[in-house]
Amino acid sequence: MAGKIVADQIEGTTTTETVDGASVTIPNVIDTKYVVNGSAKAWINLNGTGTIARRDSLNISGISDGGDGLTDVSLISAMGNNDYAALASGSFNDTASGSTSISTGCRSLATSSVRITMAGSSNNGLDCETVTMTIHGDFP
Amino acid sequence: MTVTPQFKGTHLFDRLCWAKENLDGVQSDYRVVFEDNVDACARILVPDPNWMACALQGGILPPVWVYHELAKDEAQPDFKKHTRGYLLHNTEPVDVMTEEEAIEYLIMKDCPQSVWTNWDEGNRPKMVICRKEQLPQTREWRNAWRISDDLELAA
Repeated sequence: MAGKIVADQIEGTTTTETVDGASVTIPNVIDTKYVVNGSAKAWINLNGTGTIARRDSLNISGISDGGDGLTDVSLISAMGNNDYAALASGSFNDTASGSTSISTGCRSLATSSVRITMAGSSNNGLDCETVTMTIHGDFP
Repeated sequence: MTVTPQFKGTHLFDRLCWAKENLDGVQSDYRVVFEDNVDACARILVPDPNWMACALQGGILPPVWVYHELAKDEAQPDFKKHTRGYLLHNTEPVDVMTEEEAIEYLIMKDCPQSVWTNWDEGNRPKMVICRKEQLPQTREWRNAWRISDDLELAA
């Protein structure tokens, strides 16, 4: 059954905690605008090895393999500006050494695409078996 | 068959959330290989299954020209933020597409215009649509992949 709840705030039961001997009331009210604006606007989980393939996603039109450790992600519903927050992570199962460190990052932020980079300990591009990324920000 | 609600005027993100809830993803076998930089290796574009499901369903995605308009705005040197985002949400969604039409749409949306406007001009093609199994099976020398000079292109 379809429907919607219209509300400006969400409020829980008031709680108190003792901090440094003093009783403190814990804020438990939040405006729904913060909930809506704070939710992820796009996310993806993909396999960056072999022929790259996405496992699951939201608001993604396609992924573009640009070489070792380089993946572009394109958005369907574009962001309002280039100043959004994009966070990526990558994991790599190196059974040989088990010690590979990976640095991941997001760059070339555009309103409808972002580039994920993954590099190994010697700054070489590295394909990761599990790459995840989320975007938080405002829609236009 | 799932019927798409009348989405005109509905925020595009809300349409996508409806699609994720109600449509099964469709993993296309098509891949788009393109070269947009002479100093870089070939890129491989993979359609997202949720997006493909939206394209095949119809009535969800905005026309591709909307993205081109927003890209024009973003290319302005004084760009701060989009002021024509309503184009994404209020423009009449595109109708049902075939898988091939969807790939064409995706190329025009996600590949640089410099690639798809004159992909077959010059000494060698800058873009090829192929099937997944036509790509190399391993990523050996991935950073040196190029579109073959010997490619015979279909008319």
